[in-house]
Parts: sequence; structure tokens; C-alpha cells
Amino acid sequence: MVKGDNCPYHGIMKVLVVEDDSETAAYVARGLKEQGHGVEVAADGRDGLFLALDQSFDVIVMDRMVPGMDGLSVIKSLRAGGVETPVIFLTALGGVGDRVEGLEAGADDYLVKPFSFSELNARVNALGRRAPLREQATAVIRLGALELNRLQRSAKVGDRSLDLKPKEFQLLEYLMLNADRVVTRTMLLEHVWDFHFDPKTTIVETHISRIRAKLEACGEEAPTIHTVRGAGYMLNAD
Amino acid sequence: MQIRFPLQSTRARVAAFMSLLFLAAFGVSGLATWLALTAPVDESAQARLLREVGLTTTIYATHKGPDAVRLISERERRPTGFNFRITDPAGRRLAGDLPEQVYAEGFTTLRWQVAATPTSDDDVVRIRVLTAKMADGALLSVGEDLERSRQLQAAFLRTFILTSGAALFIALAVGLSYVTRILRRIEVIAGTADAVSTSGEMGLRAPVRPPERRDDIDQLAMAMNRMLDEIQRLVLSVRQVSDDVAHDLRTPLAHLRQRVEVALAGPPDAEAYRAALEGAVEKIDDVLTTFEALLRIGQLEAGANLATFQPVDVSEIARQVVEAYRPSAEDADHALELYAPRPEWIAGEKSLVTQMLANFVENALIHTPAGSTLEIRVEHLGKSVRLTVEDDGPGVPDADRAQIFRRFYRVERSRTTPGSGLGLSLASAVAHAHGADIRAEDAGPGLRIVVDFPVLAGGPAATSPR
Repeated sequence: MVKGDNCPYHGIMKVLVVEDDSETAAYVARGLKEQGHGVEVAADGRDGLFLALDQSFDVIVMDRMVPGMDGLSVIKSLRAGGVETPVIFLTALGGVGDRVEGLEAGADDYLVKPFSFSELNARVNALGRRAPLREQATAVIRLGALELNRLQRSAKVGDRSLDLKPKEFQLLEYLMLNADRVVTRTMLLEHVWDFHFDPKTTIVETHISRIRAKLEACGEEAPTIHTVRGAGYMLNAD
Repeated sequence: MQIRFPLQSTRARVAAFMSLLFLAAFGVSGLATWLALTAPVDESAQARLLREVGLTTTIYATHKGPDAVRLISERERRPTGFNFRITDPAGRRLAGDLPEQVYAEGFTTLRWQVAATPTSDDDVVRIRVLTAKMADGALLSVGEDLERSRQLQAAFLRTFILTSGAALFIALAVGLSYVTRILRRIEVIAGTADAVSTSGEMGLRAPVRPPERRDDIDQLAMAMNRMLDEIQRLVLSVRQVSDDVAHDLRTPLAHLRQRVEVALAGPPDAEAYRAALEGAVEKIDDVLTTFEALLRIGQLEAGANLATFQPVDVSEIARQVVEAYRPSAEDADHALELYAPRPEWIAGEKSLVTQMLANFVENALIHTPAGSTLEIRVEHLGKSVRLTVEDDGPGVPDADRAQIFRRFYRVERSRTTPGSGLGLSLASAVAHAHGADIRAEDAGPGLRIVVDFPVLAGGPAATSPR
């Protein structure tokens, strides 16, 4: 696995895409290649399972409805075979049941079709970084002058402490763990609020602007939350 | 309808079965009666013969010789119904009319041809004879005509056949008419089912009698009617979804097409194209959101989520939702108040209940003016957990209030505010999937939405978490 802690945004990964719809597969593969990743495509479940067992990938993108062997069974077989490669599970427009099934089978993330490429890309990047993230699972995490104490649930920039509400803390924590990467609005809703639907109200935007205001009040050295147009947010040290 | 023949044959089978049953029952009871009736007749006949033989033996013993023979011959001519025969030890006849033959001691039955040439059954009589040896070696036989008991038995047989025939006839008539009535009612039920399947007319129902007269057939009809109700509900729901899709997805798609056409018709300008494409993506996302909401409602109404239900704390969900929306509410100058003092457990799907409450809150935030207060309460009420979402905004007119949970229903004055018109109907579908009762009330002023969930007996330990 490529460890990209220093320049994670340019971390090159090997991604397996198991998808029988050639148009979707080509769209995903082209997008990922443009990001500099190496991509293998399997058009059915058996090929996918074979490739995943044969080679080592950083992330697997697995469609639920593929011929040969359905996505759920492939994930179960992989996990049973000791392959712990992170899997993003693609479901058709579905209800709660599909998501729960996928995660129970051993998937690490799910995405409801149709999805935008920026959403998939953000999730692939987040998952690809998971292993280093776990290593980083320490009480105190830092980004530039920003420091988060995860035990005390406190934050400070330099010497100035930052007064954050619980959800604001969680949101900032998630952004820091994915620093220099795009995090989508949907990812924030799922991880910070456990909301698996799209609220009409600007929950995320409101929280982001409050955190931004608090960070800016700490002066120049605080990291900045950038808005990535059409994709999401990104926290940078500078 | 092709079921006449089997029904006819059911009728025939019932008739044949009933006849057999009757014949067997009558046969057994007839035989028993016959035995009970004929045995005493035979016994008394034997007793009479014994008495007569005893009497005649005494006469023979006391009178001796020709006197005895004369007395016995006289006795034969009296209307006692007995016939005699006395033979000396050499076997010669001394007196009596009984036919010429060798009589063994004890009881015998013989056929006596009365006329020289028999012309009818009456000319041959069956006679029971008791023969005894006298002290001097003479044989005395006393016979009695069996005709009397035979007549008795014949009379019994006649009566028996007559009555059992009549009983069989009545039973068959009554039974068959009863069976026919039942079969006719089943035929009506089958006819209803056939009519529904051939004409597709989902409104047809089998007739059911008033409650005080209901029997098994009515239970059958009611079960079928319940099944038809459920099928009709599902069909209507599917039809409703496709109508909704046709209506509410076609409109934005038409707008999208117009927008793209307008961009294409204009001068080839990269900036203009970009703007048009971005607008198009936005519109497509709207369509997809609506589509997803419709599918979710459809799935919920079909009851597809029950399998994933687990213990859920409604108070905790309310806290999370309020926490999530409080900053947005504050920005929009709305007050959010929460009253959820204790954990309240129900069996449910957390993300669905969360979405339901979020939809209520969003609906209130969108449709009430700045300065409004929104109160969320979670309480325990007997066997239910009540979730109340109440605002002090302008409320919803009485006529509209009952309709707000319908798909795409929008109160007239809110047509211009954002929203798909699906939020509350999705919430309603979630409530129904959880077996909850949902209603909208006038909060005077404002709107109050009340959801009563069935309480999870035993709390979080009642069902094992996944």
C-alpha cells in the first residue's frame, strides 16, 4: 500500500472496479486514471474475485448487481479469504436494507447509484488512506497550528483555545483526518451526523461556516476549510 | 365459469355417501332389532311345546292305552294350534295328524305339505315339533305351526323397510338441499374470484352475511375479501407511484430539455454551455432525489424494511436531529425546543426514524416565518411512544391538513417555497412501516404532527441487536 502521508493527495493507488455496465465502468476507470491511479476493471463477479485474490489492490469498487457472482458474495468470499482491502459497495437506488447488508457483508463504505464521480473519488481517496489513519489514531492530532485533543474533546490554534460545539468538533476531526483531501457533503452527513439521506436544509454549510468563523478568529496561522466547487470541502494547513 | 361439473359431482358424492351411511346404520340397527325380536318368539314357542308335551305325557301316563289315544285325538281337534302323533314302540301310528315320518327325540322343524298338490306358499307350513319317549316306549310328538311368528317377522320387516326408506328419503332431500345451498354460496365466492381475475375489477367482493348469522362459509368469504383488499391496496399503491412518476418526473425533465435546447440554439459560447450544463446537472439531481424518495416510499409501503428493525431510542434520535438543525434554525431565526426526558425505545430502523423527524423539522423550518418556535417532544403514553412536532406558525387550513401526507401534495400558498412535496408522505410511510399512527392537528395557531409508535416491551434488550 502506498503511504502518502506527506503528499496524500497525489498518492497513487491501485483500484479494482467490478462493474458489468461498460459505460459506468469506463466512466469510473477514466476518472480514476485521470487522478493518477492504476485501474483494473472486471465485468463479472467471478473475475472480480479472482483479480482481488490474485493481485493486491488499495481499494475495490464493487457493484452489487454483477453477473456470475453477486457483489455481496464476492465481498464475503474476500473477507473469508483474509483479504482486508477496503471495499466501496455500489447499490442501485435502494433502501436501508441494501446498505445494511453491504456493510454487514464486510464493505467499508457504500454509494448509491447514480453517483457523481467527485463523490466516488473522494471516498476512494478516504478509504485508500485508512490504514495510515488507523496508525494515526492517537489522542492528539495536529494540522499546522491546529491541534485536536480527542480525549478531552478540546481544540486549540497555537495557544488560543477553540470553543467548539460537539458536532463542530466531530466535523473538524473528520476534516483533519482527511486533511488535504476532498470530503463531500454526503460523507460529512454520514460520518458526523449519521444521516443517510439528503436534508434540504443547509446543515453542513451552516456548521462549516461557523467553524470557519472560529478558525479565522484565531488568526492567519489557522488551517483553512476550502470549498471545492461541485465536490465538497478540503482542509489545508495553509 | 367452468366449475359446474365438479360441484355437481360433489353433490352426487355427498348423496352416495349419505345413502351408504344410512343403509349401514339402518342395517345394523335392523339386525339388532331382528335378533331382539325373533329370539323371544322362538323361546316362547319352545316353552309352549314343552308345556304341551308335559301335559300330554301326563294324560298318556294316567289314562293308559286307547283312552289316552282318544283324549289326545280330542285335544288335537280343539283350537289350540297343536298337532300330535303317537306311535307305539314298533313305530305304528296310534293317533294324531302329523305327517308320516320317523321323529327323533327332541326339537325338529319340518315342512308340512297340507294340500296334495301345493299351489301356493300357504299350502306348505313350517312346523316345529317336540318328540318325547313315553314310559312304555311309545313316541309322542307335538307340533306347532310356526306361521304366527313368521307373520310377525314379516310385519316387522315390512315396517322396517318402509320406515328406513322414508328416513333415507327425507335425509337425502334435506341433506342435499343443505349441501346445495352451501355449494351455491361457494360458487358465488368462486365466481367473485373468477370475475376479479378475468375482468381485473379490483372492487368486487364476495357477499358476507350480517355478523349474527356468519358461519364457516362467511369466514371463507371474509378471508378472500381481506386478501382482495390487500391486493387492491398494493395495486393502487403501484398505480399511484407510476402516476406520480409520470407527473412529477416528466415536468422537470421537460424543463431540462428546454434548457438544453435553448443553450444549443444560442451562439456557441463555452461559458454559456458550462452554465447550461451545470444547471442541467442540478435539475437531474433534483429528479434523482425525487425518484429515490418515491422508491423509498414504495418500498416502505410494501413493508420491505421490517427485517432490519432493532431497538431504537426515539429520544436519542430527537436529540441528534435537534442538535443537527439548531445552527440552521438559529440562522433562520427559529427557536428549536426539545423535551425528551427519558429514553423511549421502539422497534425500528434508526436512519428511517431520523429521516422522518428531520423531514418534520425541515418542513416546519421552511413553512414558518422567522421568529417561530418549533417544539419536539418524546413522551411515554401507556403502550405507545409519542413523538410530537409542534410549531406556532400560520398552520395548515383544515381542508388541507388531512391531505398533507399525500404524495406531492402541497398547500396552495407553499407552492413557491422549495421542496418536492414528498417529505411528509415519506415520513408518513416511515410511520406506517413502524406500525405507528400519524396525524396532523391544529395547534391553534400552528401545526402539530403527532406520531404514536408502539412501545418496545422490555426496552432495548427485547430484541437482540444485529
